[in-house]
Amino acid sequence: MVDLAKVEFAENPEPRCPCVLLLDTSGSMGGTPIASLNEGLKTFATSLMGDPLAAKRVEVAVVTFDSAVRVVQEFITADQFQPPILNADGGTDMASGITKALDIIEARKTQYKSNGIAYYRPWVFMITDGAPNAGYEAAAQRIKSDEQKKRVAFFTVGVEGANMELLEQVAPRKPLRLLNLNFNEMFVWLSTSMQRVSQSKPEDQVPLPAAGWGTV
Amino acid sequence: MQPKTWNVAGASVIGSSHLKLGLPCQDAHDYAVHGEFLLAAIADGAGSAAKAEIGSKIAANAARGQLLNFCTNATVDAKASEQAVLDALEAARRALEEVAIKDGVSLREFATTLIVLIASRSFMAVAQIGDGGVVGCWEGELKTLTRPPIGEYINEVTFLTSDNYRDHIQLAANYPCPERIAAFTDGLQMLALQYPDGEPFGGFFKPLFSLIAEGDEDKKLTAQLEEFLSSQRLNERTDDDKTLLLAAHTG
Repeated sequence: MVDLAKVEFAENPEPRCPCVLLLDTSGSMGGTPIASLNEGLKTFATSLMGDPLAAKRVEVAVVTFDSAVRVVQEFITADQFQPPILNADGGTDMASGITKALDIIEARKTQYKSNGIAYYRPWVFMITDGAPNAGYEAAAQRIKSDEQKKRVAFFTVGVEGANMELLEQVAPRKPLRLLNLNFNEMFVWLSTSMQRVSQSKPEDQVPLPAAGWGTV
Repeated sequence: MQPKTWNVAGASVIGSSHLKLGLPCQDAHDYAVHGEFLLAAIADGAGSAAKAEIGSKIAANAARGQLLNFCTNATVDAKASEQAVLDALEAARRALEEVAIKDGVSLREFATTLIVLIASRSFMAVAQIGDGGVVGCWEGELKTLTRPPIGEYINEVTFLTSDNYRDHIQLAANYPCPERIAAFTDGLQMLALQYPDGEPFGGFFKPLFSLIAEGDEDKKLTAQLEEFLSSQRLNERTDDDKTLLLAAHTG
């Protein structure tokens, strides 16, 4: 009787699920907000590590924006992601942050394609306590176009003090308001959502878990 | 007693991610041997579809039923079988449309992929919508007949219920009959095929094809297959539902 323990498995690169955390590190985020955000980042890393497939498939990049834009973490698989500790200072150049996030996604897709690596639709998760700066319209137009062409899924979260009305102009998906600086819960939700996406085969909708941490 | 023309074994086993999310197994399969013909259909319901497990079952049953109809009522040759597998996809689509109307829900709720195949002593034909694939073995040589389509995103799949499903049919017809056939849903595709080209991974298929060629009782083969698909070793590498159908031509 043939022993099926002899069946071997092909070694293929894992499909990747890219996620950009686009984070507002302007002066107003100083103190409790940035401290809570930093804790949330740790929660995010730990939560993703808890799912063996997500740990290999989810790729995290961190882009911060205040007066300047910084790629604090280039795309790295979740199982190697060390959460950065961020400081808050300066203004809010959201437009440049958005542009940078979308640029690094396009560059990553090019790398995937030239290496024959499959990938899921990338996410950008923007967290801000402010408002878009003057001249954000071009960035907003790019998000709209990318969403229409299903190039990216762009989510906006407004922290205590955020101008939710203006944030609604930035991206097609309605921004969510984070309650009580509940970054931990939000990042657990994000991690679970990433896990679902990384296992998924939907047409365009992933059944996301209920966002108990925020309101529309 | 009719001599056995085909050894067949098929199994659909739930994936660990479905267990975690409290979802049922959304894969389904159906097959029959009618005289010299092997008729088979495998289907994978979309995770986001509320009635995916019903959709995949209905689709697989309807397709196999249509193939049986064809075998019993028509002249079966290579050319006709090419049309027959396409007709089987259409029959499955109609069956889903009917149940959607009956239940008063959107067709989307039954979203599923579907692979249908017919094989005889001298020819075989396969039609596929969605991912998963079919591999055949001719004189020891493995060949992928249909494979997971390459969209931009790995989770972009066209389903039988999609508006443009007819544009996304893969058809492999006018092939001589292989000695061995394997059909699988996407839960196994990354373990069975070498990406990005989708070539068959020999180490996966050789022991499985040896097993199905052994000629043991179909029930015993099926049990072994189920055990394999439920094994820890396999489920460390894939957490999706898995369907595997194996057939070996006898005599």
